Amino acid sequence: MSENADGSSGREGNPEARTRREMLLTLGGVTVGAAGYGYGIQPSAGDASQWATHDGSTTDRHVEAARAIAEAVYPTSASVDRAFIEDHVFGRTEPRPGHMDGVRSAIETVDGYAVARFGSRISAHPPERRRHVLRSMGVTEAHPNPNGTAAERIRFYLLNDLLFALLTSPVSGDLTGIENPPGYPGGRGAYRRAPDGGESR
Amino acid sequence: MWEYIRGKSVVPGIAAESMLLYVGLGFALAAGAANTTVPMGYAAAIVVAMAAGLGVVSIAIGGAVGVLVHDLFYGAAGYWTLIVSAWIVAYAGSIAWLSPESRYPLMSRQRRTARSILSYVFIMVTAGVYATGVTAWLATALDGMPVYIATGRLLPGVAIAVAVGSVMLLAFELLDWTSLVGTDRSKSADRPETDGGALLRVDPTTVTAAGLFAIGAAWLGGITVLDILARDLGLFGSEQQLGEYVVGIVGTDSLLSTVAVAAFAGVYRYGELAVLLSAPIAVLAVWWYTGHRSTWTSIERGRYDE
Repeated sequence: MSENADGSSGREGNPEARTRREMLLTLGGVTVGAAGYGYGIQPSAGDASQWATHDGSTTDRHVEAARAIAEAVYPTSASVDRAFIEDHVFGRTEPRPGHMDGVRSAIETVDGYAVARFGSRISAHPPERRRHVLRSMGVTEAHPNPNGTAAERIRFYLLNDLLFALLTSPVSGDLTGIENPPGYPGGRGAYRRAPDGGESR
Repeated sequence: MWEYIRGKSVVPGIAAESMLLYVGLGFALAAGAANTTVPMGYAAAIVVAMAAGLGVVSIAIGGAVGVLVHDLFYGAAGYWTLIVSAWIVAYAGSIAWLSPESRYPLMSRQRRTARSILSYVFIMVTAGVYATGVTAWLATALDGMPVYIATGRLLPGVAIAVAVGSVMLLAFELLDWTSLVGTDRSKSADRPETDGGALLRVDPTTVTAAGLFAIGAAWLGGITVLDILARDLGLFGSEQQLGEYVVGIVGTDSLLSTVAVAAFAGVYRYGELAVLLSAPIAVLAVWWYTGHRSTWTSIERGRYDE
């Protein structure tokens, strides 16, 4: 598709050549069509304004994305809901100042990547594809490092926090065999249970 | 833009509408990959293969811009956008840089031979090594992902680009041979016969490409291994802990112990920095090698001419 020195498209010399106007019209039509199609099926999910709050705190979208990622990371036998994420992930005491900012930033990075490369927000994908998103980002292979690359930061702030929340709550009791992790004495029911699992008299 | 690389004409001229068409191609491929969850690296490989097969670098430039536009359009641009775009441009640019003009298939149909096709495929492999190295380095420099992970993500794209590009070359060759594309019988009479024996001869350009491949492969392999080592050693809490661990393996009071502790401590401290500094060193190595090769080649050609 070369152009002649005088700027003409060379149609006279080559009957198969297209004029610039035809090319632009074709391209414009294709672009508008593709853009309209894409805009119709996709919310502008990566829009940073949807994450923003006045005080930089956690939004519903952070919680929903974290819940979706937790479903992908946790064993299928461990079921999680929004309340679990709110209480055990975002509700716990910050181990270090700025830690929750790191968690939120990691969630936004994963969600942005999911939109760009997998077509929709992380929470809109089935769990298997969410795992694929994480693998694709290299999160599953990276070492946790709060000062490392994005993949390493996601591993440190997000995946490690989610696993910490799981393993320090009774939700993981069936998986680990520890029904009463530190901070969860188990309540009256645990004291009434016999060593063999039966009800004590 | 990019019409001339190393003084060679790569593209006869990049019309604005062509570039826009290539941008649309990149956008469409990125959107298609996202909606079908095909890895973006595979779609990028198609762009590179098209650029390589057709011999038009502007396809890659437009494709890279298309990926950028796609991610910006969805408000989801990030380091991943730059990585994909850089890989496409670096790959196609490397192919153009490594290729003699005569190796571009459609632009020089009459000079295409089995040997030139094989050389071109080898150049695609070499260019893929360099593009992967540059992009993996960039991925770390942008704080996106470690070099060893980026390398693992990008190399399958090289395999796809080489495979698709090879198929395109063979298809063009087949179509050209059957006179279905462009060349008429009178022109094909000027074309040299495919010489099976020529495959065994090594021309200076191929030797240069082999040397460049060795440098690129050594660089890519070196930074990948060094990156893995540096990040694994980084799991130790301190240099002292690492030293105690190494001494526990190799023992104490020996030269080997001293060297091993010093080597691992060096990687622990400066491994990631060394990965980042490897890029300018690789550039210097390539610059030095190509300078010497071109001198050697011109001497050799002069001898043949006599």
